[in-house]
Amino acid sequence: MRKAAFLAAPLALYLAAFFYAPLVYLALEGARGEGLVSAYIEALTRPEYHVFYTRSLVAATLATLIAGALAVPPAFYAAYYSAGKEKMLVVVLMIAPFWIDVLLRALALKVLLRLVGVGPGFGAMVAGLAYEVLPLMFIAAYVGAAFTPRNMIDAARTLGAGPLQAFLRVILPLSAPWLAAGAAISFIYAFSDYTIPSLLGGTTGYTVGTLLYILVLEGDRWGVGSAVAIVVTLATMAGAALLFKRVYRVEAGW
Amino acid sequence: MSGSPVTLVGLWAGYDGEPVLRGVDLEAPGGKITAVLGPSGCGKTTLLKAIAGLVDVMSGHVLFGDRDVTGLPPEKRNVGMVFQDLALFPHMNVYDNVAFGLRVRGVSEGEVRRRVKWALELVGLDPGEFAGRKVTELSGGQRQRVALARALVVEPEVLLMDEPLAHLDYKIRQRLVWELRRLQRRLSATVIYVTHDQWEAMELADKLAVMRDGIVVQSGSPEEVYENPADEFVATFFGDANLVPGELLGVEGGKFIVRPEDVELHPPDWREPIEGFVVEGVIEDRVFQGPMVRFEVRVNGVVLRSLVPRSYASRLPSRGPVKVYIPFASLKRVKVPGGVG
Repeated sequence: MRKAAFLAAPLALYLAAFFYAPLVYLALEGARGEGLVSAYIEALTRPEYHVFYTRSLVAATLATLIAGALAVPPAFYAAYYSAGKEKMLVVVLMIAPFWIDVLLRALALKVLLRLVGVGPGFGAMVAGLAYEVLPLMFIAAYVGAAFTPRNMIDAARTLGAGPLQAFLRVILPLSAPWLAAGAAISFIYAFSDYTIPSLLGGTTGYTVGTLLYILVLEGDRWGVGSAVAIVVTLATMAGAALLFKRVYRVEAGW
Repeated sequence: MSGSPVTLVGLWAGYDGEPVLRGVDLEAPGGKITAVLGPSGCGKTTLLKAIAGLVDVMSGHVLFGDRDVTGLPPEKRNVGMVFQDLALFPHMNVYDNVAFGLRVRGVSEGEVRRRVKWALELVGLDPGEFAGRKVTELSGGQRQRVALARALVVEPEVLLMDEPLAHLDYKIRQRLVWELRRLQRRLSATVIYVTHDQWEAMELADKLAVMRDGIVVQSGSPEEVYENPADEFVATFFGDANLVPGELLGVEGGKFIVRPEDVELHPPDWREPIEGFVVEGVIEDRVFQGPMVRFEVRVNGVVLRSLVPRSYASRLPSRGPVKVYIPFASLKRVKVPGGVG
């Protein structure tokens, strides 16, 4: 083992004690009461649960895509076309929502949406989730652009590429690792969120977060609840691993 | 490909409303190499970017032949540019880098293959060996060649090069400069080559433009500029120059420029010539430079640099008295920028 490994030790110990050990405990929770195997079978196969999973999947995917589409242009503007105080201002304005607690923002959004005639429902929930993860996507896109030198655009332009082609053929592939990281974090955040679906989802707000709430806190079904949590966690980890494996083949060494 | 002449007329250009170029006039002849020489921060790179369409032009014009391209975006200008750090696309292999300009023009893949092969061979890279390589795995010289191939493959009207060899070892630089010159002759390309290195400028330039503070202060053939520098700045930036006060030569005021190779040194008993300035001096230092030896000689309180061929230097002492001879024809009165000449 390399000597520098001690640098990783504090976090590793912390995670072992407060994340991985409880995770294992959680994975085996079903063994008490209903039985481990039947808890997992129920979590995987019960059709009602699939509605929750699918709704979370669709809502989180849409929210991530919307946030990405909204975040990329200002991130590129900040990285390439602004400087000094202006650059700082754009970055601060884009990530400022993060400074306010999610519950407050969700409540504020609920009021604002009602003012424009949009009540709780799937649309409001997706809008809320996108709003929630927007700063994450912005930071990812901004860092991606900041790590892609401006002269990559200049080179593409002098070689005959218009602005859109330069973006699609050069800037986007070079930013892809950072955008993918941002998208993965945003997706996981949106997928398992509880606050936004419960406040803005209305009758359609039955997502993974609310499913867990119902199972554990309302139904006292800890075994199935932990099986659902483990299934969802493993599925998102597998998805993220596939995404990263594909994207990080891009060689970013200039 | 036989390139067009490039003409800049009263060009003001810069970034965010701040001009870097302050009225540049320059004619770069078609099918020739124009070297733009100047210190860091003089606006050389901005000049190339203005020709490529990458900076805001505030006033003036950029012409390719008779075509005014001032308002055109870069992709409509048909230039090739080799950037200082090359700006190769790190996510593409050698083939895709070189093919980029053809593909965005919608050239068919069969034609792309043929032209990429041509371009790689042109710059001395074996397509079979290099086409599939990652650009991040190449040596500095190889990357340089890929950048050149990428710029040339689209047969640009003008090839712009921004200190492309600045980061390379002396030996590789020398070889690439010689190859570039041969390549340019073969293609009759119009090349505008920016450098702060006077050796590269001399090796490459059919025409030389010296820049300072956002303007071209003098242009002409390298020999013209060397023989008749416009002012003290040009004299000292392009080649070395002694600045001799008029008093030393028995003239009222002013300064004169003398190239070190025109300051002749002779043994103290040397017979005086008829046309020239002759005076006693003292050698204070001697530096061997290969073909030439540089002496530092004190004459009436002024230190002059003198370049003497190696064969003749052996007749001179390393220290001590010497006879200094400057032919009248080698003395050029200096124009001080902004002052009285």
